Amino acid sequence: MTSARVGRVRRVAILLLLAGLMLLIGCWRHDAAITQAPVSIALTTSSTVVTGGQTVTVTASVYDPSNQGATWTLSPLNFGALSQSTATSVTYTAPVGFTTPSTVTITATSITNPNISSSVRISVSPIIVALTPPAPQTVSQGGQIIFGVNVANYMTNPGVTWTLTPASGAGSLIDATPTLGAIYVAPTIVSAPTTVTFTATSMENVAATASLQITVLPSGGGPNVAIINVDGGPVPGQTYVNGAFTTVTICNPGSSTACQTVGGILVDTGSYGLRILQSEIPFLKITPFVDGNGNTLDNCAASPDGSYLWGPMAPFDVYIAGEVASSSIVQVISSSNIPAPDSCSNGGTTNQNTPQLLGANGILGVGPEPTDCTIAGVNYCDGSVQPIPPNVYYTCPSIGCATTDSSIIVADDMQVTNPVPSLFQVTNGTSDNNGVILQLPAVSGAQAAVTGTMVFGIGTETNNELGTATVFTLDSSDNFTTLYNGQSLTSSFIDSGSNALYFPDVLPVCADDPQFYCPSSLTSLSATNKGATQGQSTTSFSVDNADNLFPSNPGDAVFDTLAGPQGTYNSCSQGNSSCTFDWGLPFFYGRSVYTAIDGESVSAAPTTPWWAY
Amino acid sequence: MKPYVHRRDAVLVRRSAVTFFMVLALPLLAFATLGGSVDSVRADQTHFKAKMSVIESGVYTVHQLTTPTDIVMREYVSRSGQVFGVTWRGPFIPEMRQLLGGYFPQYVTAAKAARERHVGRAPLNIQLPGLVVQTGGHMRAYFGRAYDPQLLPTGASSDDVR
Repeated sequence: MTSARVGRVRRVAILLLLAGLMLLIGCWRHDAAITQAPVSIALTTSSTVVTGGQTVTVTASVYDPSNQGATWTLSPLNFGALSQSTATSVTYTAPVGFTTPSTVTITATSITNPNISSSVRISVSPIIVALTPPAPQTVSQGGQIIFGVNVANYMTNPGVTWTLTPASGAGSLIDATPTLGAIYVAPTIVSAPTTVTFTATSMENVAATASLQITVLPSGGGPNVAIINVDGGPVPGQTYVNGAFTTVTICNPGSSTACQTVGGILVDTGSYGLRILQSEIPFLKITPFVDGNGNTLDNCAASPDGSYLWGPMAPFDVYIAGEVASSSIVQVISSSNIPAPDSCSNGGTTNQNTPQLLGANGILGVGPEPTDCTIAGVNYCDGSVQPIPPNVYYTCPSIGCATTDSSIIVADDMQVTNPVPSLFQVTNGTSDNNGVILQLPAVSGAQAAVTGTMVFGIGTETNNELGTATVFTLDSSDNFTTLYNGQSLTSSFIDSGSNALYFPDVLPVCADDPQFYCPSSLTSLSATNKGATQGQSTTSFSVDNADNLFPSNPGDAVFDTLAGPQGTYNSCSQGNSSCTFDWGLPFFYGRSVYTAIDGESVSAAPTTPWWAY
Repeated sequence: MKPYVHRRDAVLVRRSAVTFFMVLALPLLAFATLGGSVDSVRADQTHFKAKMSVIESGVYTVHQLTTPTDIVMREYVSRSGQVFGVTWRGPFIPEMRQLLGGYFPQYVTAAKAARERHVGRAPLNIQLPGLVVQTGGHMRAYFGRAYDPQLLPTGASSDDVR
């Protein structure tokens, strides 16, 4: 064959093939048009929100020439049940024995054409039992605590039953009523702190309970006293050494039922404001501040260890012991790994946004300043000092900040707030808000754990008097001076959030970890603290070999002889990195350490801020 | 130590040349300080919107930058024109990537390793053959210093970076 003929034959073959294909497509389309009716389904519901045991009727308007209606399915499959199913309606009954808010999806599928379906989502709220006050409490032996109760989302019975555990020796309840509350009466005498669990259980759904711990102290307990534990922190398998942890309950503002209680909160006198991991408050509605363009206000808390905390700010009612700070502005540490702006993250350091990274579920900054951008009466973020904002506050679109976004000026009352100056007692409104006292027992060497107290207010109750404690006033950076080993360390401070004593010395640094000292044997030392304008006292302390301490006491959280270097010995000059004695948590063992907050007043005491012990 | 000497005249004379150089070498200069040239100090001054004063001190020069938010940074420049140490103190932590330049990745790795050795909140003490970083402080009163021991000029010691 010639090449011309070959080409002609090919063209004919291709044309035939194409014609065949077009015929096939036409036939298929023709068939579809005949057998598949244009079905559609629209759903309506009697409600999109139900509580345990309630029912919802879902009705389908089905357009279907074959008039066959729909079948119904529920997802998740066993969360409640569908009944009275017809071609055009179904009844959903929510389950009763559940305690977390959920969403179910009900789907109607065309019988004529199973490819056509329509769904509705229904929020299923559990019965919620709420106690007031909601956070763990302390009380002195023989004392009383008045609790109120509120049951939400019940169908017919708003009542609760009250229980105390253990069954004996836990004290008693008086005036217990199903719908109002109960008064807890502590045992007349306890020889040591005794923990009692106080529980209210819904009569309608025994799975719905509210319970909290009451610690009965031999003395000094009360609505202004929270328990702190140096117990290694909340993360299983991870030991946070020399960290004091407490429990807070945070609620959406004004709500007694939209609340979550979060333990493992680090108590930090070296920072200001509550910062809580988003992952620990999944059931709270986070309503961040939003500007006119819908951008959220975010906060950056950088730490000298090269990490930072990043996330939006939102008001919450913060309950601790029998106290509350209403609409306190909290930083919610974002679970998202969308990068923070470079000027916060430095493009590489770590957002400590998981319990594992932070070693805690949050940080309660109860230091001597009212907001996280103030020092000695100067607010650097509100534009009052100068117009250039430091890298603390940002506005970000809901999808997250761009790495190039700049920080902004933010008014004082929108900054992350130290909750202490706002605290008042839930039951009677008394203010215990001018400072805190941290108290931990004396220890010797290493221990698994110790329990102490955080007392709110100074000189506001019989259990928080200043007494004979020495007051040390602070300089314009909230520091004082420590005289130690021939050095005048002019930028020294007390910080429960530091997990050791850190100071410049000639002690040998551990070979494998330059964060700690490793003297050949236990070394006794002393230093003198001097306030900026008043207060002087000499303190003895000991430093042991960290390389021996840790392996000899595996899993222990309490080390009163743990210390490490801060800067370089004998190099202090003009407040540089070698001018600091950081009195971390070991300093608190065996002491009551008072922190009086800038702007508050303490009767018969110097102008705040100050420390006392 | 000699008193502070404000070298505004020198800055003015060199400004156009520096600006020209900065435009050409912006990607380099934007992140160059520790280990960088003396010109990178001016990149920092621009970045931090800082006031600068210069102190001549024997075998090196100290460029002190003060930001509008009261962070005081000192950059130690050898006679050969290289930054061998930086310090900072003030109510906020300066952007470490800007300050540490090419040393920033090392710093990030070492800081992460320190946090992973012991979970908790503590000052940093990074001691590497080519980088020392020491930090500390509490909220709104931070401080720190960083230097490369291998860059210390003859006649200067690590204690000078203060």
